[in-house]
Amino acid sequence: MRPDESLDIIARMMAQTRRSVLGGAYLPLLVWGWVTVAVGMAVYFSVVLTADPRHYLLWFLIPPLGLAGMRLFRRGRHVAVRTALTAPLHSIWWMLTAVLLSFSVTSYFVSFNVLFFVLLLLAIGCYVTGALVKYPFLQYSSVAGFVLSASMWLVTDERRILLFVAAIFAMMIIPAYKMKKDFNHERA
Amino acid sequence: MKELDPLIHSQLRLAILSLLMSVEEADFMYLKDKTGATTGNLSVQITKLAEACYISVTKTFNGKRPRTTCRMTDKGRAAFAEYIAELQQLIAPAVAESTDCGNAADLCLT
Repeated sequence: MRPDESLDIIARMMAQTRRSVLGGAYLPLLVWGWVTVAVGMAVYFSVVLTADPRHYLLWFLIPPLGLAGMRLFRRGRHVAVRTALTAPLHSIWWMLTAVLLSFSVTSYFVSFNVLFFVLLLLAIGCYVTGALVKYPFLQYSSVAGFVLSASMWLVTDERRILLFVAAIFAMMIIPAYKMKKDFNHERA
Repeated sequence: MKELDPLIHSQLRLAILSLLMSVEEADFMYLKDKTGATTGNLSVQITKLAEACYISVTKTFNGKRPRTTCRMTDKGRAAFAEYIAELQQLIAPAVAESTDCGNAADLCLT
């Protein structure tokens, strides 16, 4: 084997790892993104159509639905590889989830603009994930989250839920589909 | 100039180590998929690398299915880094030569 052949093998195998990272990153964004959008729309229609004051309880459907979705879509595939990014990414998203949940619970007792903080934290999470997996599109799309989180202070009625849903769509669902497309394209 | 480590300098073993170098751990099926090797050949090469303590192999169960997980050891990482350094030394003269040729060609063109 010539030295240039060795280098070629090393480069090809390293590229395979990058593909694996992309393959592992898009599913959580897709599942949690769609679940959040679906629940967000349910909350919005509940506010508009029923005006039931308990409509905000619907937000708490996100964790069980998200976990069920992840379980469903990961069924049959076990994690074949752990990269150096796996642990930091898990750690960041678990920490964000804990903070988001505590904000959501606190908002029942203390009135504050919870959607602003939720969106801001999710945008930070997406930006950091994009930086770690070296996927600039995810970083750029998270800017939509930062911008729309500011709009949570400007829009005070139920339309802010629609803005929240739009932000989730832009910073989680669209990049996840692009990631999936890139992953399948590179694999082919 | 030192000779390249014969344990690493084989297509499949180099591919395995390159994959493991860039991940924390990978299972047998992942390595098989990415290297395109046969089960038997991959198993033999993994055993050789494990015997040299370049990688560690853990056998567990995923439900009822046996699962073999490989990860690089510190000794393996050091050997791989040394291999790369030696490879660079081998390639450097060829790169310099091609650069000289490139410059000569530029001069001819001008």
